[in-house]
Amino acid sequence: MSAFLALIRASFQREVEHRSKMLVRILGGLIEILARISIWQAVFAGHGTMNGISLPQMITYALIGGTILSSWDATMIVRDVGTTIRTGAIGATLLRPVNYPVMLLAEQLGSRLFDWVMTSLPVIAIMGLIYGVQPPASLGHAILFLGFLAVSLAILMLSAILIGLFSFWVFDAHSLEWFLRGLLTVLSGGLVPIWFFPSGLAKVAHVLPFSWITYHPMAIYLGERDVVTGIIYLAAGMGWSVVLGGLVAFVWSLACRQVVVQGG
Amino acid sequence: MRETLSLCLYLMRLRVRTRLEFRASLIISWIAQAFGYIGVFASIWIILTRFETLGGWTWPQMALLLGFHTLGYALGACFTLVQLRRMEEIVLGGEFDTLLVRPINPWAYLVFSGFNIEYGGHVLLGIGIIAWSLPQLSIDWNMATFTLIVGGLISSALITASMLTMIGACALLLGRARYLFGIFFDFWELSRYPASIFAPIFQMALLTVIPLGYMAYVPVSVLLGRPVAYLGSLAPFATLAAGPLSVLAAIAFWRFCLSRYQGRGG
Amino acid sequence: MAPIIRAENVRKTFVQRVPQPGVIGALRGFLSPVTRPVHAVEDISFSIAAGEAVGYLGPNGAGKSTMIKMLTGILSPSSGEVSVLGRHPQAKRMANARQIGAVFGQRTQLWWELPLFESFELHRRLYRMPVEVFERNRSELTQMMGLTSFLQRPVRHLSLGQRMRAEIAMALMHEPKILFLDEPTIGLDVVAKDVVRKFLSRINRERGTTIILTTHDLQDIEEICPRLIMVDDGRLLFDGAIPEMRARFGARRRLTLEFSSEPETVHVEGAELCGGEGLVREFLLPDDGRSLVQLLAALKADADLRDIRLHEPGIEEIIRTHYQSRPAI
Repeated sequence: MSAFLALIRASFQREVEHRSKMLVRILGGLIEILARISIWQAVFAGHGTMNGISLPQMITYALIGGTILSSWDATMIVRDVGTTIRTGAIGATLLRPVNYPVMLLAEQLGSRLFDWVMTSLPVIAIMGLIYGVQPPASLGHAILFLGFLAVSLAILMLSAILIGLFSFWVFDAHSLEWFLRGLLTVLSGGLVPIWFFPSGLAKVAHVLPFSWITYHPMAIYLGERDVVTGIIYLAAGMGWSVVLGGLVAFVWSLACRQVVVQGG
Repeated sequence: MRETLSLCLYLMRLRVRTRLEFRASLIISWIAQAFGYIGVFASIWIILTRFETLGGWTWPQMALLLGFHTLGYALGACFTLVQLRRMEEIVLGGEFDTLLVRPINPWAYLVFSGFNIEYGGHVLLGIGIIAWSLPQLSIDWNMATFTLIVGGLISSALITASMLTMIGACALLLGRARYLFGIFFDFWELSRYPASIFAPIFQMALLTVIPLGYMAYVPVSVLLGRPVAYLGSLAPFATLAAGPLSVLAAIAFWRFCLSRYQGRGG
Repeated sequence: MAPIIRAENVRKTFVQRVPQPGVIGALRGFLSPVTRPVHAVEDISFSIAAGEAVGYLGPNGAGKSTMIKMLTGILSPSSGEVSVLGRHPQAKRMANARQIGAVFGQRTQLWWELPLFESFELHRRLYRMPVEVFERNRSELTQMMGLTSFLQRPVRHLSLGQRMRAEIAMALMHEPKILFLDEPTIGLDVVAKDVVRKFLSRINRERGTTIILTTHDLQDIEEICPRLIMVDDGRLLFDGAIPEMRARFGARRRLTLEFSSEPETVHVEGAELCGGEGLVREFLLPDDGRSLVQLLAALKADADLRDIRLHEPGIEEIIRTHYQSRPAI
């Protein structure tokens, strides 16, 4: 466990050292959120509410869903894994005492936490001051949201690692990255919440694990579900995390065999 | 001049042949990239199925805008993005120096020898969406609209290529440029929506200093007979002029950076 | 004969950013960078005649590459003047590029994914050579460099040595008047180095191509270049032939004597005892040109001599002595 924490700390520190990158990310975050808020402002112009959702709620959804719950980083993980495999650095990681997926998870957690503090919070603060951001629906919802946040992180990272590991067989991480990007844009509810989906698509998206990345946590935050239903969803999300974790472990063990057979 | 042109074509042919060695992965990457875009476009479509219009734009209109944006971008980026995004490495690794000892314009060499056919997915997707949306829109077909579509696409490609060139040129001056590409894409994503939904200051920026508004919003607005704020009746001419003007700016800026190029130091 | 390369009081100063510690410092550095000048080349003058082979030597960061970059038109000097074939190489970069060849040891100019002959063909088009001239040069150079058997092979499958040979052959394809080489033997194995050196000195002899090369490896210079330009810390240290350099830097020969029993006193007139124990004694000789016989005559020892060796210093040694005596910066 201490190795895990050390890796998180190391990748956090590495991020601190890239300061100009940080300013650029904040700027990028501001522009992206601006686009989303502008879209919601434009479409809500002729409607008071839509499916019971109001504009201020959607602004909050865009602000929080587009920053701390964004699925963008997932594609970076796929790229990282792909690079590690393509350059053969994967051989060296096999020699380390820490299991590679676990190490990856730790590293990504580190940079994700950094991103929350250094990018997401400033962006939420600045845009919140301009456009207003709603607090969580209640204290219960707020506490539950923290649980969802953990599940969101777990599902995002695990599905990205899972897809990334496929580059052991499909030798092009670049394409995997684009597939995942397309998939997550829609199914995480990151851009458009699932409650606006056509009903067939909504049903599918609702139960797939990706909707726990942005949609379910935000639904709880905004109080669109009561706490009890929320707990059931949280449990379901944890279930998905476990399933994905198991899949990663399984695919990784297949990949290890592959490395041994190919001789690294 | 003719010799330079045939040399550029030869460089492109070499790169295409290189890429065609891995045909399967090329096709997969076309599909994958198109899929990535379809994710975003589908989200916008979902919004429009609920709310009917986005800033007054219906889905077929919005689709034309997205198709135009994707196609124009791809036509410019296939000559510039991947090769110039590497400028930082090209400069720091000394590869740029090896270009300067050869009797060719280093920009031309980079651009044509890096000609990237991975944008096939973008091109097919862009053409597909445009072809789907045009019949559903009442566009008065005449010489002017035809000129506007072709000229607008060329302008769009030129704007993309010019801006990416200018960003790449920064590596000659600063040694770093990669993060600037990130900023470019942040604004580029704004430019796939009708600019009228943004605050006035952003609209103005997209029509002047960051001329990405001309990539799709202005020409498609004109095609659809929609008014363009600040430009009014000048809009069609501004569309056709924006590309060539941005090229002039890019040439001047590239030359300026090249004249201050200091190698890697040591 | 008029020189084809001239450097007159050439200086090159770079402005380097000084990174500032801490987040605040970085922010401040971002807005108004703190810079300091780095003098890569300081007041260097030399001239090189057509047909010469010159080694440009110095430790890392001595300003070797910077000088080559100024001569090849990549950079322009901050002050002073360089002229190559009567032109200012940067102002007339294209014209200059057509008449010079350049090889950078660590950076390839070959097309990685395609067979070698494609890179040659591209080179022909870049330099706008008539097909007959190109064909003749290509067959001659590929034969000389032993490249014929892998012309059809993709460059990425070639070994480093094969690639460097191809690189040099390509740089000569358009019959340049001057060939610049920046570290041409770096990373090569002994055999490959030997091939490259023999080839370069043959090109210099037979075609009269002027060669300027920078290197770490003194053997390159001993085998290819009769003339040596040595720089350190941006300044010119020495310009001349190798034997002259030995004299200039007071490189001393070393005399090693081995006795059959341990001597009590050993004395060689005019030489300085510098080491040895047991049966062996070592002396440093001043550069007085005495022969071994004369040295033996000057030897006074109380034990029988079993063996005697006279060691001539290589340039490596000369330069090492110089750099060791240089005050630390």
